[in-house]
Amino acid sequence: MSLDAERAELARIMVGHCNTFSIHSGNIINWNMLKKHRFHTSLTSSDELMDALHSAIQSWIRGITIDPVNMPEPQNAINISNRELETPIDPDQREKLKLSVKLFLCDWRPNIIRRAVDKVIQNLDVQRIDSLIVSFPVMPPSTNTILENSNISPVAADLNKIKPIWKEMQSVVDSGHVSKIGVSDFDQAGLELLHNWARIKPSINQISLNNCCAVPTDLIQYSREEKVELLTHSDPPEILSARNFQSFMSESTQDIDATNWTPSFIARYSVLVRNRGIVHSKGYITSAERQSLTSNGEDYGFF
Amino acid sequence: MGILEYDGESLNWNEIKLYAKYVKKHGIVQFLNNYQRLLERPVDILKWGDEVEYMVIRFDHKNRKVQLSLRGDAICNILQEKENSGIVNLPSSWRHEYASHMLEGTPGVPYQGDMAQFKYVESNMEMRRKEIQELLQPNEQIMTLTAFPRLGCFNYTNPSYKADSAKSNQICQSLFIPNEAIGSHPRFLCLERSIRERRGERVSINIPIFKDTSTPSPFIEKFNDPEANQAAKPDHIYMDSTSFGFGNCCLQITIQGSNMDETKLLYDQLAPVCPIVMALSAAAPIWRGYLADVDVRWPVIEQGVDDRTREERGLEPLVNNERVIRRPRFGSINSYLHKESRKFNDVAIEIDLETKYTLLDAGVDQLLAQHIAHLWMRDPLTLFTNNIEVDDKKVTDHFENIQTTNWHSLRFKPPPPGSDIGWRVEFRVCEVQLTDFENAAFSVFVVLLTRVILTYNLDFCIPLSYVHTNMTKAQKNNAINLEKFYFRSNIVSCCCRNSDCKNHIISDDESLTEEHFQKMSINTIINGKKDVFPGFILLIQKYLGSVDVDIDTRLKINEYLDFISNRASGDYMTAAQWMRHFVTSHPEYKQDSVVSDSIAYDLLVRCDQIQKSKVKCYQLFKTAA
Repeated sequence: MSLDAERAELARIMVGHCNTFSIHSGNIINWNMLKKHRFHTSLTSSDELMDALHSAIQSWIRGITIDPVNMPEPQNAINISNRELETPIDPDQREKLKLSVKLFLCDWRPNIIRRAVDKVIQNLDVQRIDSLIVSFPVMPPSTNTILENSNISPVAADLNKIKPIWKEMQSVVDSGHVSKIGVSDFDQAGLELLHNWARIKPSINQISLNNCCAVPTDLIQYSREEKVELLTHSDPPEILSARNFQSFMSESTQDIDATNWTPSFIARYSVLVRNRGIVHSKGYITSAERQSLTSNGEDYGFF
Repeated sequence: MGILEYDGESLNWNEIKLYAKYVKKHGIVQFLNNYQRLLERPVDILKWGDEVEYMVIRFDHKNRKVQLSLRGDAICNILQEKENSGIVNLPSSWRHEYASHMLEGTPGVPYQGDMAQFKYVESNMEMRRKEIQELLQPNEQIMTLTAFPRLGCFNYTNPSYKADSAKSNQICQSLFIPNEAIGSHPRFLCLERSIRERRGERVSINIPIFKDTSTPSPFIEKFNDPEANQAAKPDHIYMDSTSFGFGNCCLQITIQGSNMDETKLLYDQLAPVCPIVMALSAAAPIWRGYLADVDVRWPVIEQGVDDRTREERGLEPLVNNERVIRRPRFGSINSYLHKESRKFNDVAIEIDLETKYTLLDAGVDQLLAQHIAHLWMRDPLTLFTNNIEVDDKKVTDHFENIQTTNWHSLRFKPPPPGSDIGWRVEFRVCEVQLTDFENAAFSVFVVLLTRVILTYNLDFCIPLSYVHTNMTKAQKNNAINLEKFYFRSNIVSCCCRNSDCKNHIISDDESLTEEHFQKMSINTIINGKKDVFPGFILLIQKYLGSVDVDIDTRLKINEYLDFISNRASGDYMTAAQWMRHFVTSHPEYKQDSVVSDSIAYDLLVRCDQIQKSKVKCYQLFKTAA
């Protein structure tokens, strides 16, 4: 077996044994540009994320060491980081940088907030995130039709699910890990609901550029009054579907049980050099979980 | 426009000549005194600003005539009263300009590095325009027009003065421009005179005329002046004064780099961008009442400040002058500054050797020493009696004297002493546009491009000789749609700027081949083309997607990018093309390239309506409802 094939096989086995997998893309700012075919107007952040995932996993596989004497123990959780694209943050320069994170939640479990914040802080080797925006899980289409036919703000419909998550957001501010917290794609009614209830108010609402030309004036007015920063994004409604992630795992690691993976969150971070308008780094940290394995997990002894 | 503080009497050229070596020597001393201090300068934030030049126009509606009003100076004096009384942090700041029909305005305080600042650029420009408008007389208008179409024509000024080409006229010996048209500040009068006196004859500017169906062929104007008849070329529009060049308006953008190295990098990276922006902003197709075959002011200024003697121009054997000098003091830059682009310095330049060695001995790097030694080839053109002996440790007057009388597409500006301003690069090619929207669009576009270059470590540099070729192409009639420009296709150098890195696409000893750069249209460079080039717009959009931008700023920037994109694709005309079209479809136009008083009147009435948004000129641009 060639060395490459051995590595791929070992990767498959390692992935097969774990049920928590997190992938840090490393800094994709320049790598992104190096790929000529990336010069395409229609590329979305989903495409960018998928590219980053592929690149990170290939880099991980390339870097696997085969040591027949010291075989690694099967791990329940694997955390990979694209070592080829690391751009560490110098602690002495931290004050000059602004670290913003957008957290795409894939389900409504409040404890994901704390986990995601910890993962970002750990991967980037920092103490604190400057701003954290949460993007709530996409509603399945069937329930949307009810909303579309009524005038209920989607936020109002989900308020009971939003509150526990927001409580966790407040908690990461209380613990000093995050400075500012915000939401995305909230309309004026939803923003007001959350604002009135929350102890720590959302200071940012990031809205889609695709609807940009028709930003409702009531939202603009309200944001101005309550000092909520209205920022923009051009992310699709769902940045990573479970199905796409499963295909990705299957393709890149030949994982037999790929269909049981579900992403739990995607954290996109952007590190900006304050007052110079230059992006220091940008990347994605994706975390996924799998339902408990069948008992037929392969063992390592193929050497 | 250079330093305007002065003390004493202005010297004429024969007197200045005696101090030339002194000024140059002390200029270098001043630079070096500053330089040592500057090397330890801490990292600077992004600050930037625009400079917009305006001309004052006077309409005579009854007689359907339009003239330049020579009240620019007087208006500027009033506008400067607040600054001069010591008030700081004013929203706008004003400067006198070369011609008395002009003035220049900048934001009072530079813009800073956060994205939200971009939404204030246009409103500051609008505010400046209003400030001037309050001081206008009835029938006067303020316009950001690059070139007045009837500049130098009979009775083109108000008040009206006669041009006096007699040799006894100490200031402006032009057939077309009266002395009173030059700004009253002694520096400008001095420049007009010194350039002519040093050169030994009037400047001669020859711009190809646009040959229309009834234009005489050959086109030859007969003047009552043997020097003019000698200097005027057939099929060209002849002009004979520095005023024809410096009496134009332009848009300049100054950007502060975080340190000297980054500023050199930006200087280099913006050099190949200069011809592109020049073609995009073209706004000057009419000269001295004729339609020209160029669309921009650039060649007019280039020829208009040419102080080289006949010997230096290679027309006569060298007797009184030391050497032939290939280019005039105005033009494209002649060398890159950052060591990364050293391999692309393929343009032969003359340098003052003594200056170069002085700088090298003091520890200045090779490329910067060469750059300054090249600037130091030129003699000072202005000098005042009480500004000769100065404290070299405290001021940099003599340095600025030579530095600011080299007029290139970019200027590399060291921090001035006694201030916290840092290293800056000045982008100087942009023609001023009729509306504040367009001027803001160009300013924001250039600044955003610098952020993109730094974020993605892009490299646009190609051999400088190709940049020179591009600059020549960019001047032509409809260059934006017809010409192809050499541009780098592999713009991603690497993740780093470390020249030892093995990932670099082009190493130092490898030469740049057609694989690395190709001829592209403006449309490809700006809007991109699959598998060829990403396009500036796409790169900027990608960048914007990675930074926090508030909605108002993002909408505004999108409008600016759409505008530039549409210009590049040919959907919108440049001002130059639009003016051409206006003239050639005017009922009084006789297909003979002549832009008469009444055609010029109608043109400027329309320009005025456009700048006031009274008429939506869809062929120029659209604004969001």
